[in-house]
Formats: sequence, structure tokens, C-alpha cells
Amino acid sequence: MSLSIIIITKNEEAQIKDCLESVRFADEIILVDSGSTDKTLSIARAYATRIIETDWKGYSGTKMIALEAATGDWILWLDADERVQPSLQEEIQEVTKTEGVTGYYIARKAIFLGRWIKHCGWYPGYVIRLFKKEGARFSENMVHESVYIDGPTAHLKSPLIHYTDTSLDHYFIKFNKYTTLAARELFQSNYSFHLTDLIGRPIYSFVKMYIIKRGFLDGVQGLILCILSACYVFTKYAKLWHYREQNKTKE
Amino acid sequence: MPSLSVVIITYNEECKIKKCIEAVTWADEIIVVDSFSTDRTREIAREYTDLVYQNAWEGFAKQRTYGMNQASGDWILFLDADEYVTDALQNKLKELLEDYSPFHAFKLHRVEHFLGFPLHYGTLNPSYQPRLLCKGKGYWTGGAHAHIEVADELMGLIHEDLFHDSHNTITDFITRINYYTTVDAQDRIQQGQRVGKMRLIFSPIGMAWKSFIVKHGYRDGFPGLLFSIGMGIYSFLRLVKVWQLNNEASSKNHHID
Repeated sequence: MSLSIIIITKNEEAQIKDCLESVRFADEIILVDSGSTDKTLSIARAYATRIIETDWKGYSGTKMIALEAATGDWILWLDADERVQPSLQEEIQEVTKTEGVTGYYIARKAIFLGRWIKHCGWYPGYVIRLFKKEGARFSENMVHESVYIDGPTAHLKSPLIHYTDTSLDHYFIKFNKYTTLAARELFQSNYSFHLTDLIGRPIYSFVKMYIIKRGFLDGVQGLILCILSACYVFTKYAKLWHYREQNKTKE
Repeated sequence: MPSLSVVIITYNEECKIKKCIEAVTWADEIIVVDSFSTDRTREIAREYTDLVYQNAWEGFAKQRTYGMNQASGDWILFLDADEYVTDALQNKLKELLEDYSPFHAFKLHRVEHFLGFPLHYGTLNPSYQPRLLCKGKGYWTGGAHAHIEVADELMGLIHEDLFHDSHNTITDFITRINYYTTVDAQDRIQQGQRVGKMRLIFSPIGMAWKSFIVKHGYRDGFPGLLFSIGMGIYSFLRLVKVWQLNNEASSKNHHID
């Protein structure tokens, strides 16, 4: 059974080499790039079987291009900031020889500001990343896309390593982008926003991550992460509020 | 009667320049100093004035000085493209031009606009910005916070409102927070600030509290609350950036486990 890696990129020159280096064992690597202006493509050429350049078609649309281009029986979907460790590699090579399971959940070990975040509800954070190509498709959700498969699933033991942003500036650029997307999604779904969402939800998010999910055991990084998450929730609902205000004025 | 020149400095302000200029068409001349906009800013400005110049950006002070050197008026009003003169301010300025003034320059009361709502309270207020100068009686100086250099007793205050339409969207507000906290964090590192858990929790709360309660941000209603929390986020992000810079410096030789 052959294995294809699918990966979508835009301006990932800092991450892409280590990422691709960690999956050299695969039969093919399909990389779909949407307009990188840095060295991503020139680095990727040394590793990728096929590089497809396309306009941005949303997360799921762009991933579908990669999925359709893949020729392997199995697909491992990877992001540029993720790495496959040798133990995970062995496990993947083992299970793709067997039949009976259509998709595998893989845990993600997130490194945030230099520390493995073990709590905060982040670990293990299982996601389906390894699956049979046949019948698989990506969902339409704007921010956290996921894969749909038909058939039995199982869990792998080894985690993926996920390097979250090392630069806070870059993190906040993404923070800004994602909160806009999420707010727009809520706006379009006609979510009945209430002003208490704006205060209650961020506090709830903080209490849940820092206390209930024991983020306080993750050091200063845990505290920063939990407050940032509360800020994220706050910003998302503040943007939703502002969309609604702007819409009112238009009408 | 003494004459008034308006100097407007711009860069990619096609959305705002029209409103800014239309509020000062009553002045004797309008001078636009553009730093090579790539949008329609100059084109729009030319519909109102022939005095549109291009000058490479070298900071607020130099850009305004360049504009001042093109001006023929006795008094010069300096505006940014996101600032609008209100009717009340217009009347006050006209009054001032008619009378003899003992002052050489004035600070104008600027009302900040956040997401389209005026903020009269909170951390930013009251805000008085140097914007009016009697030609030849002072000069612009300084970096990010440029000011007009005249003796204190010669600087007057005008209390009528100058609108400042700065943060139109939350996205824009956060982009600015991100930018300024990086600059600020580097300053704090120089000052040797250390960051721990307590400070990460309580400084932002203190900052929001100060803006919302102590500086009466609550009087601005819901936008005042959003802005005050935004100030808290500003404080938090600055601390996190300081923490990270300290951490990187001290753990260069350690490995991540």
C-alpha cells in the first residue's frame, strides 16, 4: 500500500524544510502552494513529488486539490509546522500495511513558546490525519477544516509534533485573520449574539483551560496561552458585534 | 485678515482624504504632501487643490515642515488625512484669524473615533494635539510623537473638536496593537523589565480598569468598554513580548525538552 503526503503552503520558508525532511519515507509528497513569495517553493522542490500552484480556494478547497492529485492508497495530511517523529513513522508504515481501518486519529504534541503544552485541553487533541484516499473529502468549515471519511477509525500511539508560532507578531497576524473568519462565519449563520457573550465567553474559556483543564501546570507558557485564548474568544465576538453594527447602519 | 493654509500629509488615504479636504475648503489654500501613495489619493486631492506635492516619508516632523515651506498663509493648520475639522472648530478658527492672538501655536482638542464611535473618555482622553502654527514662529520636531517647538506660554489650547477617525475596524486596531507592542517591548527590555505570572494577570486588568473606571471610559458606553479591554490586551501583549525576549536571551544555551 502506498502513502501520499498532502500539504498546503503559503510563505512557509521557515518551517517547510524540517517538515518535508521528516516525511521522506513516504512514496510521494504532493504540495499545493497558493502564491508564496518567499523561498518555500525552491526549498520544496528538493522533496516534493509534485508541486501544484493555485489561487487560494479556502482551506478545504485547496486541500481537495492536493487530495485529488495524490495517487497513494493512504493519505497523510500534514501542515508545514508539523513534524513526523521516527516512532510515528514506524507506526504509520506498520498500519498502512494492514486492512480494516479507514482513518487514524493522531495526537498532536504542541510546542508553544518553547514548551510542550501538556494540559489546557491541548493534549492529546486527536485529529484524523492518516486515512484511505478512497471516499475521503474535506469539510467546508472556514477555520478548522477537517476530513470526512466513511469507515472504521482507530488511534495511533505516537504523536505528531506541532510547532505553534515562535514569533508572537506572526501569531497575532494569524490571530487577527482567524478571528475575522470565525466572526464572519458566525455572522453568516445568523448567530443570535448577546452582549454577555463578549464577557462571559472569554472568562469561561479562560477558566476552562487554566483551571478545569489544569493549564496552570504548564508554567508561564500555560498562563499566556490561556489568556491569549480568552483574548481570541473576546476578539471573535467583538468582531461579530461590529459586523452587526455596520450591517444595521447599512440597512 | 490673516490667511490660513492647511497642510495635509497623506499616504494611501483614498478612502479618507475627500472627507478631510471637504471640511477645510473654506481655508485660503490647501496643500497636500503625499509620500508616494499607490492608490488614488493624489488624484482625489487634485480635484480640490493644485498644491499637491510628493515627498519621500521621513517622519511626521519633516513631512509637515516640507508642507509648511510650500505654504503662503500666515497661519498653518496641520492635518492628517484621518482628521476632520468640525463646524465648531471651523468657526473657532475663523474667529481666531480675525483677532490678534498672543499665542504662536495651538493644540487642538482631538476626539478619538473607535469603530466609528466617538470616545470622549478613557486612556486617550483628553487629547490635545499641536496642529496650528503662526508661520515663522515655531517648527516641527520629534519622532513618532512629533510636536511643535515653541515656548510653553506661547502654546494656546482650542477646545473645539477635531475628529480623529483612527481605528475603523477591530482588525485594524489589533494590527496596530501588534505593531506598537513590539516597538514598546524593545524599550521595556532596555529598561530591564522582568515579567512573571502575577504581572501577566494583574497589569492588563489594571490597564483596562484605569481606562474604563479611573478615566471614565464607561461613559462612552459599549465602545468605551471594548476600547478599555483593548488597552488591557495591549498591556498583556506587551508583557508577553517582553517575557519572550527575556526568555530567549536567558535560555539560548538550554535545550527544549
